Amino acid sequence: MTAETTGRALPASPPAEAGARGGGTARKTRRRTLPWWRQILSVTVTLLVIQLLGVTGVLSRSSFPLVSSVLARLGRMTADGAFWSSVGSSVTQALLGLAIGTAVAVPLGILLGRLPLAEQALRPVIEFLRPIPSVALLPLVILTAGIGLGGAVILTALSSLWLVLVLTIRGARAVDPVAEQTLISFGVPRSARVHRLVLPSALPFIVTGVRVAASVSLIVAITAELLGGMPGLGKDVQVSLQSSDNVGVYASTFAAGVLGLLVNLLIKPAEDRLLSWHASRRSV
Amino acid sequence: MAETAPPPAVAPAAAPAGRTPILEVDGLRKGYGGDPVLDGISLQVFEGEFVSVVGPSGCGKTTMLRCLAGLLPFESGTVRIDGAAVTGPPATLGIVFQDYSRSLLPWLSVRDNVRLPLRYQAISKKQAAAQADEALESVGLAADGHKRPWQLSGGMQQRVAIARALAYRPRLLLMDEPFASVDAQTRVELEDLMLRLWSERAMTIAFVTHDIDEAIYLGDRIVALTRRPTGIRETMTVDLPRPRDQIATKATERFAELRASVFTALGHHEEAAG
Repeated sequence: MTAETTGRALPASPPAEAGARGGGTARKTRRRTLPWWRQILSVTVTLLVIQLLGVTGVLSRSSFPLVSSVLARLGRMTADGAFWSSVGSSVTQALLGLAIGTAVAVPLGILLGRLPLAEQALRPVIEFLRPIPSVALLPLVILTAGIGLGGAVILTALSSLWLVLVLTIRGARAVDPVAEQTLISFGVPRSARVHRLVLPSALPFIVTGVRVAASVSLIVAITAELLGGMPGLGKDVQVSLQSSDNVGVYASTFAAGVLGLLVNLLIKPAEDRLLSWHASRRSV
Repeated sequence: MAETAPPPAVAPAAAPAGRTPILEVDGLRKGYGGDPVLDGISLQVFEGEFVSVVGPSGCGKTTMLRCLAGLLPFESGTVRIDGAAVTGPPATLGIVFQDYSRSLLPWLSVRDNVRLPLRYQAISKKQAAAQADEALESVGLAADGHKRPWQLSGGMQQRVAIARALAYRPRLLLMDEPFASVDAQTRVELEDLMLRLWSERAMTIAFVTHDIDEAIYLGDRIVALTRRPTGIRETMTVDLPRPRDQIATKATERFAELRASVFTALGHHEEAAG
């Protein structure tokens, strides 16, 4: 989406690109602000159109409540402590799982990336487990861990683990042989090469994995809540659904969407900071 | 070892008498899957010497250098650095590769790149910092230590790689076509920088290049390699006086003669005539 809007914002792309390279940060910041407003604008227009379709009766109000009433409900919900505790549960389940999954995947991925024989031995196991959707394990988790926060965290951790692991293995293999031979020649020991060379080389891959895993983790958390009854926004949707509260269903779903947006917005600056040295982000 | 003891008359023609050999290569052989690349290379580099190794493109110069650095296993022959047989990467060896953009770590500052190898030496942090700063200063980058390598020009990046090797204080410095990726003007500057550093620090350098003029301009001796399977075609002493000068030295008749004989040794008869 960002690439698309950037492209439209700067029709004369090549000269603007050349100018930005010499022009420093001012131009760069402006280039980023512009699409942001466009995004807000496009969201507003979309909501207005849906509202119009609802008011004119094109969309049946029984299945599609008015945007205005959904937003009004959401406004009322934000004044309620229960809503925030649901948000807290969803976020905790998503992020705690992401953290645990990443904490296991990164060392394991680096190890497997550096030891091709171990990786070959484990590959069938990984390839067997990886395609199993986390949600498919929901019944198993409910039986063993129950429907508390812990159960959801097991699922989000698993989904994050596979995503980050596969990319970390690839990243650990992306080490430049010239850089490695240089450090070997200069007597940098193997263990030190792991965190001085292999980890930074793999970082762009790891960060990409974590970014994707963060979105997926939130989806898995909400799904687990929805189907398994773990506390969170997903459960709120289910509760509203069971009491035929259509406006409530939409309001909670909308809140979950906003949460996904926020997670992405928070990850982007962290990613930029970690990878400022990377060729794709250099400002010179 | 015993060969250095007898009087000069017994010593081999190319070997300066009474000097310690730093690098001794004897019958080095290496191939890839039955295809021989190095076919019995023997050479010596003595303490304080600047030896240029020159050979045609693709002749296995880089393979040879990686064998010397202990980065590639070889089939037969021996390599000794400072008297110790090379079985893995020797601690007393510094290296400068052609591809500075790949051999410097982009996530570290220039200063941290130079300091990194020193962390694993038996020297104090303070001493390491002093050695790194001194090395950066000697290549003219004292003010650029905080920058990232990729913020510098190609020539400056190669200076960082040189500084990293200097700070390491190796017994032998191996350079693998270090100036092949920079422009002509920068190359001239870097050649003169190397000559200055070499004479100031009494270093021992094995310098691999495919550029004949560069080999003659820098070296005390030239080792000319053959095409694959690579052996040594000829070893020549460069009897040009030092200090050398890019214009004056290269304008001498002796330089032209040496150039012609290296060309001939490498088998470029037509180019030598033209």
